[in-house]
Amino acid sequence: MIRTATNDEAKQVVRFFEGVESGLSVAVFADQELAIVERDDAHIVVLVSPALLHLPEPLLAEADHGGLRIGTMEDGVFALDLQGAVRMSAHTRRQTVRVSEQATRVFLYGKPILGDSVKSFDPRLNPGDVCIVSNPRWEAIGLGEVMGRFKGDRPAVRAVHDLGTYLRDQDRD
Amino acid sequence: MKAARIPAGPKAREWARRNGFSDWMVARLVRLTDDPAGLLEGLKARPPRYLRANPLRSDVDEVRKRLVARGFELARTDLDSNVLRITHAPISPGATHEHLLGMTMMQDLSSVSAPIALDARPGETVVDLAAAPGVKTLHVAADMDNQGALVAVEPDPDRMRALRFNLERTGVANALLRLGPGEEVPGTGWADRILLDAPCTGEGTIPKDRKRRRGRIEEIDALCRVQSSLIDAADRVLRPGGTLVYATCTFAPEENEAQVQRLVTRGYEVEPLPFDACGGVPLMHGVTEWPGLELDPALDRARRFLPGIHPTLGFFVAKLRKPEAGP
Repeated sequence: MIRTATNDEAKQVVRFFEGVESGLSVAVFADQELAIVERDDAHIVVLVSPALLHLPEPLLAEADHGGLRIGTMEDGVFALDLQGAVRMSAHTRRQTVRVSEQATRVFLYGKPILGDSVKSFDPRLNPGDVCIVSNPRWEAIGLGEVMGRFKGDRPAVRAVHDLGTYLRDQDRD
Repeated sequence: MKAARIPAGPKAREWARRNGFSDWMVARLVRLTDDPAGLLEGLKARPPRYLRANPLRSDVDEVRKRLVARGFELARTDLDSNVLRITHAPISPGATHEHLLGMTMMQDLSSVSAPIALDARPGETVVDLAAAPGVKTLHVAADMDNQGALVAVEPDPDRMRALRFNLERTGVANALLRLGPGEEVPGTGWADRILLDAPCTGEGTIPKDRKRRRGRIEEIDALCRVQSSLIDAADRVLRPGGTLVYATCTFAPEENEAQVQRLVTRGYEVEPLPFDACGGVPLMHGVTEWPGLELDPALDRARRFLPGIHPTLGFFVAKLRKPEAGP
């Protein structure tokens, strides 16, 4: 099913984006609304066109999916997903590790990024933080976890979720 | 409805035997076109490849620039300015960074004709009644500028996953995905436009799928039943005055004109299509005479893409308007 996000859910999502940068939630949401897809015990956070939530009720109740998935609610807290990162990267460079073209290819196979391949990064990132990994054009190519610091104080990043999933994992849910 | 069994002459039988086709199929294709030799040779040839730039992510000039920098050679097409013909690909076009970033969708040029005919607008309520893998769904969503509501229906769970992945990758936010038969879409008269790219025998995809050369004619009969029930569902869900585009990737008039005829009988009007040629060659008009069928002359307004004659796979498309409600 798909439904409008509750006030609590919406607050969590807004808090996440505003925690990265003031005004970011408005930019990321644009003219779309927050909604929740409930499927297989998961609460998937999506952005939808307002009209989608005005479809006949049986369609909403029986929906397999709807809108653009930007994250999930896990124990009441918002966790960013791939397309949430893509939306974010269009509006901010915070929490971002930008890597070389060659490292982009490696990362899209789910492999880690080493410090040498990092072109720039948000200095506020610390080991253990989740970050957006972007290509040289600042386009998000996935999410990673900062593992430590290497040459020139640049972070090394473990792949958490990368856009290569759209090729590799179509046969998995 | 039973598909017309047309006897194959000696030349057709010989050609079919030499090229691994079913006799009955060759006999029907010879009857269908004015240029059977062109079509039959086209069915044996490797089809051209195309990609469509996704306006929700980028524009065609940017996509072209980026792919050319990766060694691709691309050419414009006359049917859709967002579609580029791939004349050289150093790697699989479906594995480029641009594809993963949602900037491109691989599709045949003929298949853009259905969304173009549908002409969906921002703010409307639209249904794609057989949506996976989502190539045309994306096109429609982009035409709607990610606004309004687009209901994408798919009965197969595996194909639904592909649909979900493709729409997510390409940034679609106005689609509701419904897993289940199109016949079970609830309600009456709530959709402004419906795209029904119906399940079919896929004769038009023979250039990329050799095993379809040996299809059984009974498959046409079976698919006609599926198509008829989906058309009935579309008729129920579409509002009076709404637009229905019916398409298939097959040649059989029983799966095409005969299905559209069922709606014409209910008062639907067959509308002219906003294109009439592809690759500089006029498209084949819908047939109005075929053994065993009674077809309205207005079906002439439908169009066919024919491999070997057009630079595409095979495709059929017709646009219909539902009558306004009576007084």
